[in-house]
Amino acid sequence: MKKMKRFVVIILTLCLTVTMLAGCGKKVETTETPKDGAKVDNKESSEETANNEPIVLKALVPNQGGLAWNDPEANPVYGWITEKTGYKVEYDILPADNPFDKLNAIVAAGADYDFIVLNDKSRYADYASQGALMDMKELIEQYAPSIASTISQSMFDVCVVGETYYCIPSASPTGREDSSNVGNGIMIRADILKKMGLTMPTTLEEFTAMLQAFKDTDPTGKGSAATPLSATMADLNNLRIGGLGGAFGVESDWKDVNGELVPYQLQDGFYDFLVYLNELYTKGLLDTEMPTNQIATTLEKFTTDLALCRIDGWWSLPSLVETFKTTNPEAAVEYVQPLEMAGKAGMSASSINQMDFYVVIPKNAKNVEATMDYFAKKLVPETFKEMVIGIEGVDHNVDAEGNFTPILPTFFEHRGNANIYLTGTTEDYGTYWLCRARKNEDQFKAYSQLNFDYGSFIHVNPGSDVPCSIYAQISTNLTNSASFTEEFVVNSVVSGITAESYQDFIAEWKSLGGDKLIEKYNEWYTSR
Amino acid sequence: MRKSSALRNKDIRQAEKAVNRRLIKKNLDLYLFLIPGILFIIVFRYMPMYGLTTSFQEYNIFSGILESPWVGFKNFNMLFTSRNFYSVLRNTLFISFGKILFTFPLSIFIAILINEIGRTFLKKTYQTVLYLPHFLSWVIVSGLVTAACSPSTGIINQVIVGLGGQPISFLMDNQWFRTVVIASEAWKEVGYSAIVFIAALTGINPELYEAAKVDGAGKLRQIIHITLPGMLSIILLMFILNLGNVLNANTEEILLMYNPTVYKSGDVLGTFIYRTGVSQMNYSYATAIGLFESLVGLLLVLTGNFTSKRTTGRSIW
Amino acid sequence: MGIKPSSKIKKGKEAILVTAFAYLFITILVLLIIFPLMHVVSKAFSEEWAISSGSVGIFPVGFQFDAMNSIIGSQRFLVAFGNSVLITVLGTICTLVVTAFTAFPLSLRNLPHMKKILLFFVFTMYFSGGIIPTYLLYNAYGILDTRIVLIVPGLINVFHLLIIKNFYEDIPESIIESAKVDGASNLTIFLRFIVPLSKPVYATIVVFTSVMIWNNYFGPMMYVNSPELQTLPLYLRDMISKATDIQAKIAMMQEVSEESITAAAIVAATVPILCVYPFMQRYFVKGMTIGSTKG
Repeated sequence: MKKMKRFVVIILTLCLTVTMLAGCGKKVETTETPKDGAKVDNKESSEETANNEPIVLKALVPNQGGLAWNDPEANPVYGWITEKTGYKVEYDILPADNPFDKLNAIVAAGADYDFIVLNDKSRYADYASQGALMDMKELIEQYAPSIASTISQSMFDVCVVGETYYCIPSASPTGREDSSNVGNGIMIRADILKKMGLTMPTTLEEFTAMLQAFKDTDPTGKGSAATPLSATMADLNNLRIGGLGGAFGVESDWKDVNGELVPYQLQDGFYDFLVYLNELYTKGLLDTEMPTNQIATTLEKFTTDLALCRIDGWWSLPSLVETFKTTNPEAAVEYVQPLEMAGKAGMSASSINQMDFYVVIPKNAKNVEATMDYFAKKLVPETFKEMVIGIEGVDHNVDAEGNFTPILPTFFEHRGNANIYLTGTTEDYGTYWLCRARKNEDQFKAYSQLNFDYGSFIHVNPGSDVPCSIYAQISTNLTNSASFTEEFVVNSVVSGITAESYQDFIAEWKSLGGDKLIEKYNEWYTSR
Repeated sequence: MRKSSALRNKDIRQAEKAVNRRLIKKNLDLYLFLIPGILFIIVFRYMPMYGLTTSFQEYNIFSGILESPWVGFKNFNMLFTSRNFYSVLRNTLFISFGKILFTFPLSIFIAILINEIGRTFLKKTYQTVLYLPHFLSWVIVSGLVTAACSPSTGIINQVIVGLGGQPISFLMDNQWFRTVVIASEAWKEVGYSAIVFIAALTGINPELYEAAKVDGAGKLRQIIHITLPGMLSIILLMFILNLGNVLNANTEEILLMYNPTVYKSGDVLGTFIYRTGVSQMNYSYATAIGLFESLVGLLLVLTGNFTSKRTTGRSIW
Repeated sequence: MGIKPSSKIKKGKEAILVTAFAYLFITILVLLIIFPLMHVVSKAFSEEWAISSGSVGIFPVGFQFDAMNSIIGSQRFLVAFGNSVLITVLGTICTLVVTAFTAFPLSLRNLPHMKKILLFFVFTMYFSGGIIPTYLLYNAYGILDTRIVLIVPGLINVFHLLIIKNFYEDIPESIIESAKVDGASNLTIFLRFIVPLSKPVYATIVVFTSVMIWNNYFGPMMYVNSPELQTLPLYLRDMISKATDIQAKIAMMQEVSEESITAAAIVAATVPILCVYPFMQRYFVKGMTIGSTKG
């Protein structure tokens, strides 16, 4: 009898352990079943299942701002792609603020995304050299040789890390002669400016005076909550590139000084630029909540008359205008011309070799063959064309010289957000791109203002041509020196900068990998 | 003599062993009770300790512990020579001791005052409210604090401006940030940590007070001579428990409230580890800091416990 | 006044002063706690104009329920809420069962080796692998970004184990002895006698554990990425730091203030705790006392 009982106890205890672990395991199983199902389907044969349910691929994409990103699966382009390729993609979107924290964690955790879209060159090179990504060259040869002919070889060459490349590149050849592209500029509420009786500033002095006037006269009646120039921490860098840094000659990340490339941290005007920003901050002209602001906060301030200026890309115009329709129909947005001081002014553009997207397949991806097939299907020239500019006569027209023009508003409705689904771009993308840039009048106006009206101010960053392989040669962790710079900039803007703190910063930055970066960039620059 | 007593000791030990064996055999099922717990503690608590070896490596997450190269004490050298580390350590100690020095006496004080409130209903209601913030998550509390501290719309700054002052960016000012951290911790936890002291108060013999009254001792003297001594051992014990957490200066709270402008004053070991490890993927370096933190924490608890055993006869285990 | 037995003796001036001070001080403290909370609640229900003009104090100005409606209707909120409920319920049950069982042998002092085994547990309270090795280990186990990682790693809290153990130790040994004489096995003793007697301490642990899981931000933030695994604290963090729940906000943009929606989210996430809070009070007070005075 006693033995029986003991036996029961043993069984019970074991059961407890097992149910405890299994009980919790079960829930996960249920959430993962669809995934597993897809995997099994896939292994059997991708053709068999294509007839029935579309195969599900999991993708991780950056947040490019705008409402389209809220729900990529609700867009008409999404349904079209699913139908055309037979693959259904489930999108996970990185947060707009500090996306790299999350991205690092995901990549490091070996997540089994079928593909990840990266929009940062050093990040791509970093993951590639750490062995987190699959060899794309091999995959293309093995599964989708057609891709090698639709994407230009020169784009792949830029992406080489070590012996091979690990991504499918996407780039936008723009309307400018050198295909460079200016994204960010200082936006201003032209309607408020008019109300204040001022004209668009062209010099740094005028700009500062305008901000001061906004603060002093409070034309929108918001009191102490109003801020002349709203920004996030990350925007400080955009302000440098997008119009303010030019006045100090530091608009470009890298600058050719007597045949040598100098990073912006070491360029002559950088110190003065930070002093200027600090002045704005202490006077309350630059958003006093800047260090804690999120992108959405500045957007909100800008759209609710709390802020006069903020910095953002021209692609944000359509959703911005849409928001203004509900908050303030009379609002008008324009870009401020790069501001001039002592004959210096400018903004920076990156060259075509700075890819928009690096589409990679992580090491743990399960549906490699299917994913490659999906990429290849989207890159078939006719499919690609219809994906990005729609159908002739419905979404776009074509003239005798082969120039495409969008038919509005159908183009915007059908293909307005096609760019977020890009996984590689064909050689014809340049001609389609010009058509896409006109997809929305507000956006095109903003784009041309930055890239053509202010075109004479554009300086192309010579460092943006650098091949990815040089990042792989720098073994030190570049994230360190990058975040160190950001911290220094923010601190200088908020608490002030001294010659001493600047010297300390430079020394520390160099030791964190900056030195090597300069060395490798220049090695490449001189041997080019 | 010696030999025989040694022999006897040996006998006793053997007899004990036999008894033990019998006890174990008889209660084998009880030992089975322990299996899930022990398994769990090995898998989720002791296994990570094995991971501490990464601090002696140049860890690459895609190669794992087995294939990452060993670098000896390189990470520790880097750590102890980095300027950052000392500033982080200083912040950690400053915030922790600030909390102990401020929250601790305050909760004792509150316990004593609550004890003075006679009306039962009011007392109960007050206690309910005082314990409440403990049950709000730091996410919510940090949200309240951030809103209250906002330089343009925050209530605190509105008061300051109303009194003719200049608004202060509390969360972006190195002079203020630590104060805000300590104060919000106090707001959230001070009532709750008074519970233990209130309990200790009810354990004090009422006759002591009666006797003191007969002797003509006033209220204040009663508090000083009876109440406080009566709570002394629990105060010491709580102090030691807190001491073990000194390097643990509430990472979650700070992570939710800080920003780069206050790294100088607000970055603590936990947040520093999080940033270098998770955000910057410097796993080995971050692990080295973590090992340092754990070792010092252990040392502090052991010392504290030893002192407590010596002085009050109470220990935490 | 004067329910206390000591009031028989006439109160001196000093005593009255001390009492008055006690009332004053505690009342101020209580108001300091109540006001910010009431402010959030009133923001959640105040109308847009009142919030933008800054006239909302501790009571709602105007009244709207739209903000709360849009939160309750938001898909993201519901997912987060559902996840939080699920992991809290499951996590609490699992923890309670495992801890209750483990603590029983540990409470029997005459059982050989128990001291050593207890030390084996207690050691993890004061020494740990730390954030990064734990993270890397979970990665190696392959449980990152799954529901397991939200429930299982918290399964045993050594502090709670000690509370239960201490409680068991206070149960008179005669109960166990007499049961043994009757020939009951250890399991029967435990289930028949110990468990029913220990209900109060179990309630305490349920309170501690469920609140801990419900409010945990750091764990989910570190270990979970997928939107379908978001928990309430993660959702709230997004709302509060303005990386907003667009679905909930866009729909409402004109009618209610954005602040209202954030406040409504806070209120909606806190209501479950507030509902059970009055019932919990007895237990956590007890638990704090057992846990610390006996340790």
